[in-house]
Amino acid sequence: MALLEVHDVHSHYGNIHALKGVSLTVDEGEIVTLIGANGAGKSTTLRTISGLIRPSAGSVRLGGRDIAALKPHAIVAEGVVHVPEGRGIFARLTVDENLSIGAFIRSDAAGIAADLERVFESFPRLKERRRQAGGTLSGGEQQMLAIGRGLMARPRVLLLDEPSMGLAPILVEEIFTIIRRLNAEEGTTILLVEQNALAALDVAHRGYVLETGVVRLSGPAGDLKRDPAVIEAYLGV
Amino acid sequence: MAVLTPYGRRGLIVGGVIVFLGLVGLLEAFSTRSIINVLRTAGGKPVAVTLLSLPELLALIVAFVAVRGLLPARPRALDAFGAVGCGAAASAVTAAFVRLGPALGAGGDGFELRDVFIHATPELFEVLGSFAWHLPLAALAAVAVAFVRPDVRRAVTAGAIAVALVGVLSDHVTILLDHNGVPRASTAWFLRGKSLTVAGAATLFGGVAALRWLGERFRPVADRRLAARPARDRRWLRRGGIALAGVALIALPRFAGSYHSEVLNQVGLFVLMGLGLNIVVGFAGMLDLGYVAFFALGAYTMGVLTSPESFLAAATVPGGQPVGPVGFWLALPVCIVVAVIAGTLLGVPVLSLRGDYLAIVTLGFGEIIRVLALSEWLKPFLGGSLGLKRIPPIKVPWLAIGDGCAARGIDVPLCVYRLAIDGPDKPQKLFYILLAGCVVAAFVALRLKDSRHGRAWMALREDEDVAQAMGIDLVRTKLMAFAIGAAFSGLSGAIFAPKLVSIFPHSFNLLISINILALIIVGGMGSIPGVIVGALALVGLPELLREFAEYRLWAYGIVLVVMMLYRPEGMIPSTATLRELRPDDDASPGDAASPSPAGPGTAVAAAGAEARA
Repeated sequence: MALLEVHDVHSHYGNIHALKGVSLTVDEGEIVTLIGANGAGKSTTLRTISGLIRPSAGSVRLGGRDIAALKPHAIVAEGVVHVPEGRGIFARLTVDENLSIGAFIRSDAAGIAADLERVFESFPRLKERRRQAGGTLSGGEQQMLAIGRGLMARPRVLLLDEPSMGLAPILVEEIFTIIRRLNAEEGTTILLVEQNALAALDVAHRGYVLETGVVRLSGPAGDLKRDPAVIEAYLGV
Repeated sequence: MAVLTPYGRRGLIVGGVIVFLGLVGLLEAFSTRSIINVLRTAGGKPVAVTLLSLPELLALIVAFVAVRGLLPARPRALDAFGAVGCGAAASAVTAAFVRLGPALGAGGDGFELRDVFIHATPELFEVLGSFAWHLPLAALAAVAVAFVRPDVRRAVTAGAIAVALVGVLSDHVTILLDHNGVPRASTAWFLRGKSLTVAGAATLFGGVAALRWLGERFRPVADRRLAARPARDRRWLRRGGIALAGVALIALPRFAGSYHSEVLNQVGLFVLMGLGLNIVVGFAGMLDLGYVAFFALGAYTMGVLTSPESFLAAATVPGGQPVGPVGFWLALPVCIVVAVIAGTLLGVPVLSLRGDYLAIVTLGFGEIIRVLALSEWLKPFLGGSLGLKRIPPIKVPWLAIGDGCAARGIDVPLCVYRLAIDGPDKPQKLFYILLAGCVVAAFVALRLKDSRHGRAWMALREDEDVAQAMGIDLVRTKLMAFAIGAAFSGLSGAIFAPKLVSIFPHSFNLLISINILALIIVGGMGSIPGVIVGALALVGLPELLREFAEYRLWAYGIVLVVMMLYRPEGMIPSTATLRELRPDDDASPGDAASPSPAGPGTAVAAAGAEARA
């Protein structure tokens, strides 16, 4: 059974029918990517899974348990952590404070301290800047902070929304290296939403192609990368 | 020459501003206050003549600030000329007004300046006429200050502020000295009549400036030495400091006397409310403009429960026994609970609102409570516009020794009795109640700030969506801020009722909410010491300058505008605000403050190196 199972989910923004029956699964230890054009519903899918949008129909199951009706904070407690688009760094709070808020749902002080060390090991640059305000970090550092903050909650599934957005190419590469390493070394399960389809399919095990609120294609990342339709529409070759 | 044009233009504006201040009556109202005076012999008798009055000081500040704003980082000789020209232009404007003002209407055509501007009195022209030399001098001072090293500049500013403050408040200083039995002869060199002497002003200026300079010079060294000491020593030092401050606060009413204790009590009520609103606005970032509602609820609950005239006292329980009024201490928790419930109830409908929308809804809520208290409908219970009367004084258990007991008909050496917070020294006694309330509130606020809830509020303030995505329960976190904030205000209201004996709906108007918000902004959003400083500045100071009460709101406006332009982070900013507004100062102060792991030796050596550098 898949760890995260989204089944026939419909979501609305007011009158706009943004998701028209999206289904996808993420297995434990997998990186699954969701690619598609602007407005295809990628971010909406993530926001629906994390409870920021209540689906009008369909189910979201985590380890078999339906979490679609839960409030966002309760979904975090279940183990789904959303790193939002645009990073959502608390600009006026320090790196340390940002990370400590990431661990908000946890109360095991020793475990939190250990995870803080692990985050600093993964992102040494954050350690150098731990007393600096989040807003003063560079774009790449902010993205690292956002991911680190997500990890502090010890998620069962990490939802990453456009981690490469607005970053210089060299930093994009670094971020994807980090994502691959988190998955390979720590076994973190990741659902990745990306505009940069090529890079996303490079790190992911499987992928889904979303088009105007509907899943058009799905399959192993390697297959998608070779699919002529995907190549033409998203890989821009 | 083109360099000089802006100065001339600025000078005309400064002159216009000063004339405007005169026409709205401010200068005339201030003209009774003298900052510095000198003795002159007139008719063989020495009389105190004002050397610097408050209107003059105000004009000086306007001219000084105007020129400072124009100066380049490194002023040249031409800028000095320009500055003097700016001052001269301003003087010319005021002089022209003094010349032409009285002439208006003298032609007998029936028009008089005073018909439009009631403050255009002969006294005003006299006050304005005295500005001739001040303005160019202030302008020149602004140029001179630009050449001074920043540390010296800060010291000079501190000294000047001290002289202005003590000078303006010198009658209060005199009252306090008299109250404490200091013979006037012994302070005559410092204070004469209602202002400072030249010697007094010079001493005060020099003393404060020197202290400020030394403080800035040696603070880093002291900090580093302190950081090098073991944690236990630092803890004891801090405890000692707290104990010393405690002793000073306990002794305060004794030296302050009745009137000044009353002022402090007023400040205390606002500190309590400020600490509460600071949780809602400063910590959780929710703009609440109806905060006075909880103050009113606290006061009215206290009144209804304790006044022998309230409907509750007359009511009877089913058995036929009258309910009767209850005591303060029994009513106090009820007041707080009522405020908490009201805070939660207000919170529920506004959960999904942010920013401006939230502000408008809370504004309405504040007015609803006041209108309800005023309404005919609730008149049988709350007294309508007549309010609630005869709210009894607070009674506290107190110890009496020997004669004190005998006077109460008890023949034991030590007895407990109920001391009423009442009588001619009511303000002094009430001070301790408010002090206790403020200490408890400040402690709670301080602990909350560093708690899990504090962090949740912080996250909420920064970004609601992300906060939710971090697992923070929006509903609970928001309601908790509203409820705790309301509790502090309810406590303040509960003390306010017996303080005033009678309470009326009009005591709980929108202005109180605005007042509290303003003191938080001036003190520094989210900063607990900021609330205290803000309350002293925006509640205490106007209370001491009673004769300018008319201009209170006017001054508020000016203070807020100036603060937002020049020091938006507030007087004692919280660290988060500082980080946002002064990112360049953010050279990781935490590292310097944390104790050196290499032991005390290196830290002291580093401090020594710093001192030599």
